[in-house]
Amino acid sequence: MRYLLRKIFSNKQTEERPHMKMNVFSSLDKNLEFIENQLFHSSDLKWRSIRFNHLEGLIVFFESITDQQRIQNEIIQPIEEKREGNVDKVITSLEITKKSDLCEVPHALIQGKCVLLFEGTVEVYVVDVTAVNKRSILEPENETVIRGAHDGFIEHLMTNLFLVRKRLMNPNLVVRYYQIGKATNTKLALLYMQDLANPDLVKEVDHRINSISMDTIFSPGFIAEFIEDNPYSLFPQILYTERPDRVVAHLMEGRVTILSDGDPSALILPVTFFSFYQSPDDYHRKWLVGSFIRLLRLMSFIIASIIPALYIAIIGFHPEILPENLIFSVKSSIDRVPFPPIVEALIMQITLEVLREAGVRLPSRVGQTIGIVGGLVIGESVVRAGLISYPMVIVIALTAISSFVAPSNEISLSTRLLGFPLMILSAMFGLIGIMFGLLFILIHLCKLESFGTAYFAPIMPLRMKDLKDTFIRFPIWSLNQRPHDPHPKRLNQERNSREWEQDDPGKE
Amino acid sequence: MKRIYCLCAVIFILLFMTGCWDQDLLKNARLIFGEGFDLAPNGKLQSTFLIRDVPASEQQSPKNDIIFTVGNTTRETRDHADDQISRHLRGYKNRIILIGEEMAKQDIYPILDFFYRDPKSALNARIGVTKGKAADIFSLKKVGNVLIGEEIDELIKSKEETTTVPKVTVEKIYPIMMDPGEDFVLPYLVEKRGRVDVSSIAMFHNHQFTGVLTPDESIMYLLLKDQKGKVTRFTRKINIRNGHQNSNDFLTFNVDKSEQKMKVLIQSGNQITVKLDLKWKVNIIEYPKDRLNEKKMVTQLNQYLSKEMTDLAKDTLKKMQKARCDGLGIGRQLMAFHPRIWKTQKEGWDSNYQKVHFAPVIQVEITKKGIIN
Amino acid sequence: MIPEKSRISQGQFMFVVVQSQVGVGILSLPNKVQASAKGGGWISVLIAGLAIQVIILILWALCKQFPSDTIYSFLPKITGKYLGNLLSFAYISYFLLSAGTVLAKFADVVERWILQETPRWALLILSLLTCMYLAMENLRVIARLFVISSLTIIVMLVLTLMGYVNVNFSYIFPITEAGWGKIVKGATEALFPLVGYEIILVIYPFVEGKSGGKLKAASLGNMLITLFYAFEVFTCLIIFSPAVMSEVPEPLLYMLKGFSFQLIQRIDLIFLSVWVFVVSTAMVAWIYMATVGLGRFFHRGEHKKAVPYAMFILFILAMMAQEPSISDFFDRMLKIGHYTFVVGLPLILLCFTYLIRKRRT
Repeated sequence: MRYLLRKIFSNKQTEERPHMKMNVFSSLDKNLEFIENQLFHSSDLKWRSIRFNHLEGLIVFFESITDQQRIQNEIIQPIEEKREGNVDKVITSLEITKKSDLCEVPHALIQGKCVLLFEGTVEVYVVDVTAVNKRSILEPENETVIRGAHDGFIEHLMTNLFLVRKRLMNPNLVVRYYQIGKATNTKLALLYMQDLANPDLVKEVDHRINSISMDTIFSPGFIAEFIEDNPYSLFPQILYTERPDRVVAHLMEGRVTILSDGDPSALILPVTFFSFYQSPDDYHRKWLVGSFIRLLRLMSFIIASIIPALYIAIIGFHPEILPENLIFSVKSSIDRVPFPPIVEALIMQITLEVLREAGVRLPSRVGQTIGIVGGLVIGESVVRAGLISYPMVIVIALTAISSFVAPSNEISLSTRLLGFPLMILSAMFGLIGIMFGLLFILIHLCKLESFGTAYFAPIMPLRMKDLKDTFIRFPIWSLNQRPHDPHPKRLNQERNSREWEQDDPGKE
Repeated sequence: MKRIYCLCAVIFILLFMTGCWDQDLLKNARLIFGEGFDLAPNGKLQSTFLIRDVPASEQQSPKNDIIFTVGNTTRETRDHADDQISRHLRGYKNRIILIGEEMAKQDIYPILDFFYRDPKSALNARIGVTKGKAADIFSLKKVGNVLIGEEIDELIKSKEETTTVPKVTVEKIYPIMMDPGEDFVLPYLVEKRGRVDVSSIAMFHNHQFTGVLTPDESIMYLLLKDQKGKVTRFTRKINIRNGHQNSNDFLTFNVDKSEQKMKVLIQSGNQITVKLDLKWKVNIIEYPKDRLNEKKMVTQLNQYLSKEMTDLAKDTLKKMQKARCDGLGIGRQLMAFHPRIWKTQKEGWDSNYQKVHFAPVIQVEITKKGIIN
Repeated sequence: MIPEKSRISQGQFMFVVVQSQVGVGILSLPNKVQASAKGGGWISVLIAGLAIQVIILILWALCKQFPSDTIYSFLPKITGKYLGNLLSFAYISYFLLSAGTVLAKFADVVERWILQETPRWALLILSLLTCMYLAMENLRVIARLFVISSLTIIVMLVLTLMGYVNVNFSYIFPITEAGWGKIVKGATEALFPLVGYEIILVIYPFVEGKSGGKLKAASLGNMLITLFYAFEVFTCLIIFSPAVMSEVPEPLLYMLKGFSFQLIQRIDLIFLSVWVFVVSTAMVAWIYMATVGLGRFFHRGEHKKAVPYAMFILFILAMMAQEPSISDFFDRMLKIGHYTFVVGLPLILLCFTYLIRKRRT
């Protein structure tokens, strides 16, 4: 079945434009006609005639993606003023190329370049006058921090690269461009530190990106799915971020970043499970505070994934675990509920997911309504009506809140999804079921590898030194080594930055 | 590979279709709060079950339901009770087990066997002996504004803190009950004009109830056993000088710290002597006669109290020997440290125990006097 | 010879030994040891640990002769192809039987303590599927998990420490009540819950580093476990009077049953849940030992392919062991198997290899 589907798709893909070489005609009209035909007389294809060196000429461009102001200033104005001379020298644009193959012209046009043709000349000039329409640099809404940089990536690759380079003024920062997607020609940039990133890693990423053969790529999610190691796993193995400071931090740990034009998210890889629970905020706070908050986040992962299952196991299998003063208040609430706890939990959990999804889709003004409907109507009335018990509402609310604590949206969704199989297991076997479920998850985590690094490092395999920046954040001056998981070329990143402490005693 | 995944999925679905074998929903349970056991006239067992029901709305207070059944064994009486009640009767949150006096005079292990055997039973339930029938105490239903079950539970708990009764649960007495060299004691509950009074200890020997200690003796026993609670108070009459009968002569003190040393000595002729040395640091709580700033007075008091307490200890031990209750585990000590003596004494330890010579010495030292002299 | 992917470090090797040794035995060990050694039960455990140390030495000396061979590949080298393969199969069946008994005992305890109504097959399938998922991986992944699940031993230790609320030290006195003979006899009893160190025979070539370091790692693992077991036995002995010990088959669980915290009660359920981890890892260790052999014979060294039907065999074995008579039979078989395959045979093989070496030189 899959084979058949692939075959159908691959058939479509092979319908490429036949690439053959065609010399530029000496006749202007013929050239124009050819270009128009190639671009199917698209309405936004415009041209303007000029005269230079006493020759009739044409400027052909797409009005939609070229900057007409620039055409005016950089091409037409100098030509009109000088009237004759060398085209290369007259035009003030940054990038001019000469082409003799007419077939390349349409391709250049769609990239936002304009083409100069002259009567009787068998070469065309391709001038880059791409329009840049970009929004301003804003703080990414889904990754806000209290302290720290408030700029974020935007949909323009050059700006994004600017943001990274600005923070990392180092000749070792290497950018490699790729063009992916036969139809969309999406531009990708692969960033890494030449002196840190493991060459095997870079080679592997390069290899995987080059093997993408899809014709449309419109989000980094596509790329992530094409290159990640375990597509069947529930856990995200590539970190998405819109924060340049996060990208820089990861680059400096020897990881690799992929930026794509037209999308503000950067892909960072390879990452470990714990990277999803680190936030730039941690490093702006005092280390004790940062550690506390990070522990809180990791704890919330556990809470979010097992609390509903635990509740089902306790209510359904082992009520004796509850102490006596608690059991009676729980019992009074659940006595009226007509469903078994697993059904109760599923109803609530799914309701919650629906509410969350609805909240994301709705504009913020309407979004408040969802809050009222969800919070008041469902939370309160469902209990009043005796459909769901109070403890279950509390449990689900706790689950939701805990899952939202994760700094990465991907992991928060995975966490909640993880709860479902555990819930089913606990409804079948109680605590023992949960334990086997957890064991299974642990085995899975231990098995996962992305780009040659263990996903659950530094716990599995255990590396004590890396634990300094995992569960808690040690003071930065004690993090002498980079994390080991991306196998960086240089491990040491710092040595005795507080040397001044030892310098002092002489003064006393 | 794919086939394996398919197989796994099929197995999993199959499991889920039939699953939930062990489900024991809390909402389908009626929770037993307390159980009482009495001797029924024809030698059968009469059980009393105190069932706690909680109404769904928060405004109403919980209610008790009491069921009496008669049967041959603990489990049978519980099954009979289950027959008379909707939903399932569950004992995993049982808080108290009361045994009536008459029943306790029989072997109590058969009653408790069920609790030890059942994996779901509540082994941390408190256990006590009642004067008269256990059913009568449960039948009080409410003491003041508190439901009877809760009242007894909380009462015993608070009495444990005042060193009046030992901290025992069903689990804690198990190793002692099975050990030939030691006997256990239980709180003794008395019904007094619609209230429950817990101030003394019921002594056991070989799983059988054999006697009761008075409140002071109970405290003394616990101190001899080195099981001091948070508060340990005695009130004693002081007549150091000429015997004026005056209510002012009473002194209340609290034992702040008690150091206990027990030594089992074997003297010639297999005479077993148990030396008990206790050193108390005492805080005077109430002494209307004051004059505690005089050093002489304090030393006098120290001596007097030491003697008084030593006498009390002797009385306590005598009473225990009479009841054949080896509450201090002398047999255990023999077994562990004098195994040869134990071999000769093993047969008829009941009577041999009564021949053991106890030599308690209690030294009282007043260290605190409150905030006035 | 050994692919890079399945190499493990010496630290991991230690934890593999630890995790294969801790298994179902721990719950019933205090009861069994006390039965013969009385208050000296904890000494028996220490003696057993010492004995195992000697056995480990023998196994290590044997493996050292063939630094890049598992037992399945060096057996034919010593005894010739025909006999060697036959012995390999004997080892495979010994390992499978061990795994099956572990599984059966695990199911027994769970059925007795938590899931009384759940049919045995459901429980077996649940645990086997989980174990299968791990056993199919290469040794490195297995070792990684073993390192982490060793944390559960610490949790178990902490839970046992709570038992010290009410202890009576006089219960273990007199320590030599049963006499040294009985204590040594108790040690043979304690030997079986401690099995699992046989994994050295199979994974020795996968461990990086020199042979001395490997011995050190295995010994350290064995020492840790012996101490852990001795501690657990000791705790049980001072909590339960001797008369109760014989009544309670799983004293470790029983002593936790009555404890309660403010928030949770029935600590024994928590202990059992943690114990699930330990048992699963021990089971995976046995399965791995067996399937490496099966893989060598039938799947050109890919143990992965042997796992599914090994699981099936285990399922059948564990279902059969439901009958007390059959499980007793298995126990007896295991004891014989243990003495022949882990103590006797390696010793003979060791002498044999030395003789061969000598004759050659």
